[in-house]
Amino acid sequence: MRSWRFPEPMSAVPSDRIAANHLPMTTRSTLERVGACMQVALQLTDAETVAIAADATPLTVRGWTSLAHVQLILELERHFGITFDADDIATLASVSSIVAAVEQKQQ
Amino acid sequence: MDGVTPLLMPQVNVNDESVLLVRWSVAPHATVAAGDLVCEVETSKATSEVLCDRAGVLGQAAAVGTRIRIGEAIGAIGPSAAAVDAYLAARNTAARSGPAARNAISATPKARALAEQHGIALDTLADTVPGTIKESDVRQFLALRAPLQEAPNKYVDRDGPVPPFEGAVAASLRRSTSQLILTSVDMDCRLGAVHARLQTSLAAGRMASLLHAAIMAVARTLPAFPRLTSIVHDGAIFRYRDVDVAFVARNAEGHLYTPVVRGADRLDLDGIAKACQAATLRVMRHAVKAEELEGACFTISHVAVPGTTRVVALPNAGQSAILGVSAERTRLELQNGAAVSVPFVTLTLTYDHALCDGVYAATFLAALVALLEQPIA
Repeated sequence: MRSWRFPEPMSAVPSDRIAANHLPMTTRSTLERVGACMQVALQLTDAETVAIAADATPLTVRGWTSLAHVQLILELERHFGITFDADDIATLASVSSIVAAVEQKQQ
Repeated sequence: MDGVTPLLMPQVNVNDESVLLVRWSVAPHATVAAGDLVCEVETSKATSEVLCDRAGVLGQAAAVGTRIRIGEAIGAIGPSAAAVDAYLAARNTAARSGPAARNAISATPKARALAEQHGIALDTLADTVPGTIKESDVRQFLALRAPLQEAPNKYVDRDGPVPPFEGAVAASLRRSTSQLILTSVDMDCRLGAVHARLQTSLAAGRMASLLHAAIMAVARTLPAFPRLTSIVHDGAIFRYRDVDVAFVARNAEGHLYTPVVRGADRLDLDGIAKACQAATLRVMRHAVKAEELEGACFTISHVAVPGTTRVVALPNAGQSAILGVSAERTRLELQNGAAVSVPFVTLTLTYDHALCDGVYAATFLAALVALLEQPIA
């Protein structure tokens, strides 16, 4: 199992990217962990993972296909210890909607 | 729990070490008599019926869609529902306690060694052997199992049995295709309009793919081509009432399933994407139910491995046609005097020539391509 890490100092990451400092701390933490799951499920490089914007969709992330999306859902379930409703996952094809859904299930 | 005994899966086919439980034929806690049909299982050759060997109240311990080892308990029969439930609960508790429970099974050292040598779990025998398991019990169990096959020629060595799931899929395809006269026809389809529609969904955070668009277009095209949703049976032609379209989904172990999108002709792209994603998740979770895989009139198989130029698929059991969708490629086309790079796929329809001919099949593909190449609502 690959572990996710920042390949460059936090200060070098653009503010609208995955380590976005303007996000609330809880959201930022969830975003980083979602990024880790995406790196595993979509087989992204470190650079590709850091470049994931908070508003990223399958249009902006390489390899985010419909099959990879299901694998991402399974990785999120394993990582966060949550279960998604199968009928909901087609509408979770953006980083922001995933972060919101994960945080809602963790409450 | 006096009077409760396990109902063990019999060896219904000598070539199988396990079978697929297709359906229970009796309700939970039904009162059964000796000789009653209790369930149906799928072997590598056919669907078989399992009959009850004694009377009583039947408690079920296996779910439809799971694989059952020969000799494994699928339920228990006893004097009352409470008694069989208590018996099954005790068995589950013992099974959950893991290696310690298995070590508690009484067996002679020679029996343990022989069982280990042949990969037999001792708890399989513990269901049938009263008291200590002896070497002779293991040998008797081995004799009842399928014998090792002889090599077909002197140049090959045995590399193990056919994995049960792959064997069952192959048997099902062999059974269905042996009744068909199969041939195929290809047609290329430009993807500009499909890409534009997919981008609308993806940009809005809704998953959508070429497979989903293909299912939608096929479902809307099929009603005008009834021979592709018909089958020949007993000298007559039967046509499916509903446009339920299956697609091929592959789990992490490489097992292929064909979940069905019900009423696909009445769904929009988002509805089909929702149904496909949910079914694929259940396949990957090993939670797909047998009824989700039944009743489709047609199947689509999309092989997206880059470089795949043509997918000649085989119709599933109970169907006469299937559409293979290749990986996406690009080609140069001359448009208004300029060379333009155009994304496209090759669609391959495999069909039963007993029901329609090449012109009919090609006309279907032309209608399908026309639908996919125009802007999708």
